[in-house]
Amino acid sequence: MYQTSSVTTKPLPAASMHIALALLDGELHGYALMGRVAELSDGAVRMGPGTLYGTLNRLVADGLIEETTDRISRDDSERRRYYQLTSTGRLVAVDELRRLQALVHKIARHLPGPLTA
Amino acid sequence: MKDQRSIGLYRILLRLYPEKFREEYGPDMVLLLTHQLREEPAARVLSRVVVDLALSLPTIHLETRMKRPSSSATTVAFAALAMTALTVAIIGGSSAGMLVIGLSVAAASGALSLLAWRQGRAITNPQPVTAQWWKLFGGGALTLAGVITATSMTGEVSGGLWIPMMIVIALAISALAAGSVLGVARLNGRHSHNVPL
Repeated sequence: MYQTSSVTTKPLPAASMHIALALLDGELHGYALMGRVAELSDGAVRMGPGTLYGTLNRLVADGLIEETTDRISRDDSERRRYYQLTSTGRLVAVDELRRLQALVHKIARHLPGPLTA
Repeated sequence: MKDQRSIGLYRILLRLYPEKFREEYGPDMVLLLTHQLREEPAARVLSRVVVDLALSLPTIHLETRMKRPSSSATTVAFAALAMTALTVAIIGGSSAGMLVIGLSVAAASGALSLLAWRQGRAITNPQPVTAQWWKLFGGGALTLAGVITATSMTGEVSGGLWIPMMIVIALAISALAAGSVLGVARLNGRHSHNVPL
């Protein structure tokens, strides 16, 4: 189980971080989640099925996300499982977001000129 | 048609994942790949699948292995080894080497037994007390066998060490007796009213 404190949490591995941040908007099923991760990263992060479900499996085991019931009735071959952040998962995701914002803020402050490649 | 072949190939490749993981997520993974194949060229999707397999397979196998509960037999075996090593340390207490080796092995195997017990307890379903009879019986029998072997190997037991050795023997015999009683109760189905034996 993932340990959280009111102050800070351990940084998540990259794939877990992308999934946790993608789920901040609300529950998603596997394919939509993959699309959301790609969208948030401007197409830079494209997860394969193994990475996606391996990470989801780990996050469920850690108590950061949970499976929700099927929202749309479909036949068995088209069943979809939705995932959402647990309350602990939301805390961790928000912490992760704050950490990234702080990092960007610090780097931007110390750069001498405008951000150009 | 081409997509069907790609999906068929992916179904075969899914067998590389651990069975439990495959049963849990296999259909979702195939569904996800089907959606990807509808939107992107098959070559691009399959090349991503190859990288994905290479990256995810070792991790998922390792995680599955680490989550596997240790068997009760491991707990009992390490506990019996700890008791035997303790007995060796007690009997051979006059020799410093024997004492150090005995205590070290006892501490290590005791810790491993505790670890195996905790790991198994967290994952496996609770079982009725009578189902545990063989652990007591096996642990007692193994410890007694260890004590007898150790005594015959080290020779005479010095005066002050008889008491701790007798305590170990008494504990082993108690475990053996309790295991026998529970075993007989289980065979008779005495506790089979509400709980499965």
